[in-house]
Amino acid sequence: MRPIAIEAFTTMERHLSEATIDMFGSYGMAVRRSPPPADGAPSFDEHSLMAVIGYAGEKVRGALVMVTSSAAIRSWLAALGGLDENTDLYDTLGEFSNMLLGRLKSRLLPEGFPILLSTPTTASGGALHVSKPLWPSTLLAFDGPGWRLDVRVDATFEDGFELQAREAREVPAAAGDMMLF
Amino acid sequence: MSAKILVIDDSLMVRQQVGRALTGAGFTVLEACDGVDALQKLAGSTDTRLIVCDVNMPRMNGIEFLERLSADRSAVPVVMLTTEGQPELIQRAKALGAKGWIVKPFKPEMLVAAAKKLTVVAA
Repeated sequence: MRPIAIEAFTTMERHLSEATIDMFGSYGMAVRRSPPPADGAPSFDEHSLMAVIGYAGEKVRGALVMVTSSAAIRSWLAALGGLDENTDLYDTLGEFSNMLLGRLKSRLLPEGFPILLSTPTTASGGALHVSKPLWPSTLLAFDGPGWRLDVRVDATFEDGFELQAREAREVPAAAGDMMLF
Repeated sequence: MSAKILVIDDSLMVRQQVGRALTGAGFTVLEACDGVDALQKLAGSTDTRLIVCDVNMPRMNGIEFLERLSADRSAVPVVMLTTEGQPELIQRAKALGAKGWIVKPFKPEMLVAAAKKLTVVAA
């Protein structure tokens, strides 16, 4: 991998970790990094859900994957103020994956690494295992209050990938900001 | 009679969060799951006073929805509520007539304050 791609992916990995901690913190849930599952081991033994959301930028593309237990998502809903008991767990995980990738996007923009997001897809099952691809990928694990979460991000860089020039970089609005025009 | 607000988001969780905040402040909330659904609901309702709209949605996203409203010369104010904070997108929405932009996660009191201000202005 070219040095510029290594730099970009390292930046992405760092921001993903910080963005995950920030996002759950904004809902009052203290989260910290924990060791990821061993290669080949399932992320969870219990019934769990997975959300996948793609992104693309200039000569780069990839996806973010979130895996956690049904119990974890129920505790997220409780932290949101105990929404309707019929709230869909798939929808909730999909929205959290969307918010996390949105935060990552906002953090990458001033780094000269703009991306566009797709919409999330979700699935569920038992003993879900997040595979390790051949292309640049990182699997981060987090412990929250009584739950665990695995987050994987990967990226495929094409030849010619470059970070934007500093003068072209934009500073995005931050999470929680409001502007009235 | 309470002002009617149309909430457009493909996430049921977000629609519930927004709906709870707005109904708690006395507004009536109508929901749509994307831009296409929203246009259909607007066609059957003439008393919508405010629209709260996500950006990244399937079928018709929030910017495309604003383009349709702009083409139709709609006078209903729109506040975008999204994970997106990219200045280029915010400027695009503003140029298309959006009256506000909130980056998720939102503070309910902030959303309610915006709704009160914009429904008064629009009245």
